[in-house]
Amino acid sequence: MDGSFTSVSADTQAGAGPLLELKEAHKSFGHVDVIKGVSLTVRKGEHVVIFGPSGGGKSTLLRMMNLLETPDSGTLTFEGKQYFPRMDSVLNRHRVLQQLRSQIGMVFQRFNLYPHLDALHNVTLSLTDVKRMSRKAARLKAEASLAEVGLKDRMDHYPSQLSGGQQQRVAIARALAMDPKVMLFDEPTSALDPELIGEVLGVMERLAREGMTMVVVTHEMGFARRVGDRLVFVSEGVIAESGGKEILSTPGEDRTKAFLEAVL
Amino acid sequence: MSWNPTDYQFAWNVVWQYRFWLLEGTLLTLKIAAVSMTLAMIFALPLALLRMSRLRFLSGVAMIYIAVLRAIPLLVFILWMYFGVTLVTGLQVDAFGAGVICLTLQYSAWLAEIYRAGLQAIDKGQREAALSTGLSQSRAFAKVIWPQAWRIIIPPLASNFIGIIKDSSLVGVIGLNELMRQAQIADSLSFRPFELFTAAMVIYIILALIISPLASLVERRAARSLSVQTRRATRTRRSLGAAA
Ligand SMILES: Nc1ncnc2c1ncn2[C@@H]1O[C@H](COP(=O)(O)OP(=O)(O)OP(=O)(O)O)[C@@H](O)[C@H]1O
Ligand SMILES: [Mg+2]
Repeated sequence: MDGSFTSVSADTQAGAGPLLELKEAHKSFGHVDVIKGVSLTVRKGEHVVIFGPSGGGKSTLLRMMNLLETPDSGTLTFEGKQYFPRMDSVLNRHRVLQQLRSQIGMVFQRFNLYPHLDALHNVTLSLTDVKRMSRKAARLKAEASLAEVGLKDRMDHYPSQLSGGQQQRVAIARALAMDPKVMLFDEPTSALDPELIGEVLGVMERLAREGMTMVVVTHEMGFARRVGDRLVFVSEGVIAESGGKEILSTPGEDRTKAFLEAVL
Repeated sequence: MSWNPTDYQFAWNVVWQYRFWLLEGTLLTLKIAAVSMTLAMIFALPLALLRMSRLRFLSGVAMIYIAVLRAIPLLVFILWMYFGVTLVTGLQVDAFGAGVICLTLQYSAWLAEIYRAGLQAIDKGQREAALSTGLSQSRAFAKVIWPQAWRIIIPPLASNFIGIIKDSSLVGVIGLNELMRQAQIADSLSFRPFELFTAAMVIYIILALIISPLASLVERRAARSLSVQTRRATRTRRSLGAAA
């Protein structure tokens, strides 16, 4: 059993085909258009960093990638299979959704750990429930994941007994344990005290080095520069600019420039 | 015929004399309350989920059901069910059945609102986290949402159980020999209302006094990790440095 996520790097080098593809996505809440025709392709092993002003639609865009948010129109393809739109029966639709989500890890701004379960069981829940692992196998797998984020000795701690940085690392372990093909991060460090940000970014950078495909919404521009293969500036529901690290130093768009000046 | 309270001669031995009657009544009271409460707790869950449905028709139906059932005086409901409904439909429902049905239906309406409040208190992020790892809606509910909501629900559930015990005294009107009616019958034989109703009252009080600490025990055990969380959440964020 390939427990650790170090195994990811091997098949990453192999092909750089599109892993996840969102095309012409639109989404509105009520009569507010939040995403206005966004297309974004994530290739295997790629590290995409999304940044932009508050309310610009970054979270909504990210949440459409695992269909936590259903687009109003557009298509979502994962590993060549179209997950949205689909013509399934209601029963099938849920199964297909689960299938998609179990292959995509997500880390939230506010951790969203299960407060009634200790760190270990936060991680094992979906292993036993979704992957149908035995308790014992799930435990081993979870221990390995928690070890990867440096929290093997905190397994029996409840979220309330962990610092914010530790909680977020457990949340990362929870996602990692599922052996996801891509990890989505929605401002994973912005609820943390400054002194705790480093430990979470450290884990993420190591993941990136090991070849995990990642889409990260963040305002940590240092992280973006170090890790980002492609930087995507989202503003007012569209991708206003995207490119390599150079767009941080020489933005082509006035909006990007204005935002970067305000952040840095 | 005048009755001077100062002349009243207490005869507490009448309580002893009728002790088995009172005991029998107490047991029936507990049985009615336990059966009704269990059924109401079960029935309230789908009702709460309907009430929270995004489909406005379903939530509307549930809302009306809840509003109507909470508005009916229980005594009227019991008489209507036992004498009225059986007459119209020709269904043979005994007093126990009628009493349990009425208590169940009315309390399911109260409990549904309690469930709803408990479920709505759970952060949306909990469900999203569960769904994002591939859990189905129902598993996310069973494994993540409900265990947390349950802890919030226990205390009001306990006070409703005490309420259902008290309300079961109304079922005596259709001839069910629960505690209240047993005291009444004993009184009609002995003409000792003060002693007998005092005894009944004391028994109701004892039942309530047993349930409250029991419930808080369950609650404390269930809520231990959660209460620690709210206390520590802010503190840890400030004081705990990079511990790893
Ligand atoms: N469930 C919702 N219902 C209604 N409006 C929503 C909902 N979710 C998001 N919005 C709105 O959509 C817009 C974009 O929100 P989104 O959270 O995607 O922005 P964001 O770029 O992630 O912002 P932030 O940096 O503050 O997280 C905002 O105006 C927000 O108020
Ligand atoms: Mg956001």
